[in-house]
Amino acid sequence: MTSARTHPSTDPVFHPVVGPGAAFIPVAWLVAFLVVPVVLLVTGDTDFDDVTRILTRRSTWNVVWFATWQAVLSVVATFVVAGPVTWLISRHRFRGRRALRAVTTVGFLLPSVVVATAFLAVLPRSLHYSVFAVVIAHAYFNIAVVVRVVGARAESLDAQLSLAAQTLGATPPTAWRTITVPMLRNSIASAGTVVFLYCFSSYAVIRVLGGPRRSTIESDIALRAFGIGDVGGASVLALLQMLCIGVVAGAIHLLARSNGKPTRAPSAMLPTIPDNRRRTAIAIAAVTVAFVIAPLSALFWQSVHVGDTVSARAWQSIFNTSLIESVWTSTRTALVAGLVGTVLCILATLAITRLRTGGNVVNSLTLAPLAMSPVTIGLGLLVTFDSGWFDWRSRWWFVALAHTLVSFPLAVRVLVPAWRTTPVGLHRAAAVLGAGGGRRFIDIDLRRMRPAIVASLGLVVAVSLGEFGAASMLSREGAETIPVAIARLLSRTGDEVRAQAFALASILVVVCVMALAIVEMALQRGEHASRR
Amino acid sequence: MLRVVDLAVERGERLILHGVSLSVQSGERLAIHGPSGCGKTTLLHAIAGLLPVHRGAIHVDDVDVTHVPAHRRGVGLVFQDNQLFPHFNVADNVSYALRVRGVSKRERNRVADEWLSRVGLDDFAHRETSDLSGGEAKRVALARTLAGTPRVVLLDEPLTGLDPLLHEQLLADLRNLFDHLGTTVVHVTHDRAEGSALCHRSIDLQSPPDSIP
Repeated sequence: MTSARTHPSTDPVFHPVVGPGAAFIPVAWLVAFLVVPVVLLVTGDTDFDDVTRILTRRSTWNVVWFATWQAVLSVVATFVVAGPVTWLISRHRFRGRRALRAVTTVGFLLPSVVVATAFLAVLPRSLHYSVFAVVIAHAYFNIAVVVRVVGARAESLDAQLSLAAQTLGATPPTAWRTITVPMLRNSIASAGTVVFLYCFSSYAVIRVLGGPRRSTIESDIALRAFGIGDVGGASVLALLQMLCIGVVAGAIHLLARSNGKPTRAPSAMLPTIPDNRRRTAIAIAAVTVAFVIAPLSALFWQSVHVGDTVSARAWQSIFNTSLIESVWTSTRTALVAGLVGTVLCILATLAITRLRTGGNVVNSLTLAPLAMSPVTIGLGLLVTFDSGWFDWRSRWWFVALAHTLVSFPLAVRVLVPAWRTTPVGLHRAAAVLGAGGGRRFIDIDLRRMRPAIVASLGLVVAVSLGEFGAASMLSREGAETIPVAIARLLSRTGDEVRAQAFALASILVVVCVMALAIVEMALQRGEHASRR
Repeated sequence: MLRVVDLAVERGERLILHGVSLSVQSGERLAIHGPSGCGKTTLLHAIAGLLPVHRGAIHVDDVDVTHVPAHRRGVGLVFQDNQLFPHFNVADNVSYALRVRGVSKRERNRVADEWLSRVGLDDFAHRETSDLSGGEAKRVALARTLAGTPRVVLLDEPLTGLDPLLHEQLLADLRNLFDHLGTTVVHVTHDRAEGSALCHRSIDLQSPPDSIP
C-alpha cells in the first residue's frame, strides 16, 4: 500500500527516462539565455556612474511616478468595469454563463499590441494618445483577472452566510459590508496586485496609446536602449523595474498565503437570477459583451476603410508588399518557438513532477521569466549574444529563442497539473507486463498527456504570435514579427498605413483566437481524460 | 407567539409549500416532522423572511411580518450547517447581532462571554471557527442566535450528524436552556424521538405539503 503516498522520485517504476538528466536541458537553456544575459546586462553593461546618472535624473522619477499612478488608476477602472459582471457570473446560475465568462477572457488572451490597436480603432481621435485610452485598454485586458480571481472566491462563498447575517438583524448592505466583503478582501487585493503589476510594466499599450510624452519604466528601457543607445541607463532601469516587481510579487505571495478557505465547493448550486434583478443582469451582460466586442469590431471595420472611404487597399497591400514577410516571420517564429518551447517545457515538467528536491529548484527557475519583463529579456539577449560565434542579432530564430523563455512559466503551468494526475498504478501495470522505462514514457505519459501537450504548444504559439516586448528588441527590418510591424505602421502618419496596421492586427486576432480555441479544446479533452 | 396562516411558497414554477398553517404559543416548543423534501427547511426560511411568500400570512406576537425583511423580523434561525462566519472568531460570531445594532465592543464581549458560558463553551471566545468540533460549532451557532434575543427561534435539524453521545448531551442542554429562557421554538427534525424529547408538541408536514391543524 505504498502507491498513493510514494514520492515519484523514490518509486522504482515512476521515473522511467527521467533522472536528473531530464532537468539539465531546460535548466541549461534558462540559465544560458535568461539568467546569464540578465546578470551580464546588470553587471557588465552598468557602472556606478550609470546608476547615479539615472537615479538622480528627474525624468526617471517622473517615469516611475507616471507608471505608478496610471497603474493605480487602471486597477480602479478594471474593478469598475469587471465588478458587475464578476458579481453576475459568480453569484448566479443562468443560461449563457459560460459564454459570458469566455467573453470576459478575450481581452486577456489577445496580444497587448492588438488590444492597443483596437482601442485606437474604436476611440475618437480626440482620445488617442491620452491617459484615458491607456487606462481603458488596461481595464479591457484585466477584466479576466478580476472575474477569475475574485469571481472564483465569490463563487465559493456560501450565500447562506449573508442570509444568516440577515436573520441576526443585518440589513442586506450591512451583511455585504461585514460578511461578504471581508471574505473577498484577500482575493480583491490579489487581483488588484496582479493588475497593478501588468499595468505598471505595460509596454505595447503605452507605446501605441500613450503618445510620445508618456512612458513606463518598461517603455523607457526600450527607448534608452534602442532610441538613444544608452544600454547602461536601460540596464539600471531594468534593475529598478525588477526591484519594483519583486516587492509587489512578495506582497502577492503574502496575500495568497493568508487567503481564506472556500466556505463551500464551487458547484451548480448557485441560485438563478431573481425576477427583480433580471433587467440589471441583462444590462450588465449586454454592456460587458459590447465593451469586449466593440474594439475588435472597430478594428475589422477600420481595416476596410481608408479615410472615410470603404476600401480593401489595406488588405491588398499586405499581400502585395513586404508586410506579407511579417506574417511569414511571425508564423515561422511561432512554430519554432512552439516546438522547441514545448519540448523544453515537457522536460522541465518531468523534472518538476518526478525529482524530489531538484524539482523545486527547476520549478522556481521556470517562474523566473515572470520577474523579468520581455523587454529586459530581449535586451539581455541582445547585449550578450553580440560578437564572434555568438553574434546572433541578425538571426531570425533569435526572436523564437526569446519567446521560448517568455512562454516558459505559462506552458509549464499547463503541463504540470496534468502530469501529476498520472496514476502510478498504470506505470506499475505496464512494468509488470514488460514495458521498459522508455516504452512506459511513450505509451503512458505521452499518450495521457497529449491534450496538455497540445494545449502547451498552442499556448506557446499564441504567446509568440502576440509577443511584442522582446520582439521589438530583437526583430530586424525585413524580418519583423506582426506586432512589431503593427507598431511601426502606427508610428507613421497616413490613413492607408493605419488601415494596414488594423488589417495586420485583425489577422493576429483571428490566428490567436484559433490557437487559443485549440488550447481550450485540448484542456477540456484533458479534463475528460483525467476523469476516466 | 407565532402564527402561520395558509402559507404558500413557490420557487420558479414549482410550488414548494401549499396551505400550511400552524400556531405556536409564547414559550411553547413545536417540533415539525416530515420526510426529506417535504418543505421543512423552506417553511423555516419563509418564517425567517429568507424566502418570499406567494400566499398566506405570518404573524409574530400578533404583528403581521409576512412582508417584513429578515433583518427586522426578530426571528432567529439556527441553520442546519451552522453558517458560522469563518472570518470572525467565536466571540465575534456570537455577538454579531449586537454589532449590527451598534452595541459597543466591550458590551458585545460581555454578552458573548455570557452566552458562551450558557452553552458550555467558557474560554472559547477567541477560538477560530475552523478549530471547533461539530458539537462546539452547533453550540456557537445556537449562542449566536440566542444572543440576538429573537422573539422566535427556528431550529433546522440542529442535531443532525452528531454522534449519539453528543446528540443526547446537546439535546438535554438545549431543553434545559430553553426551559430556563422560556424561548418560543420551532424545531424541524426528521427524528421523532428528538422532537418529543425537546418539544411540547409535534406536527407532521406531509409531502405534498398540506394544511396542518
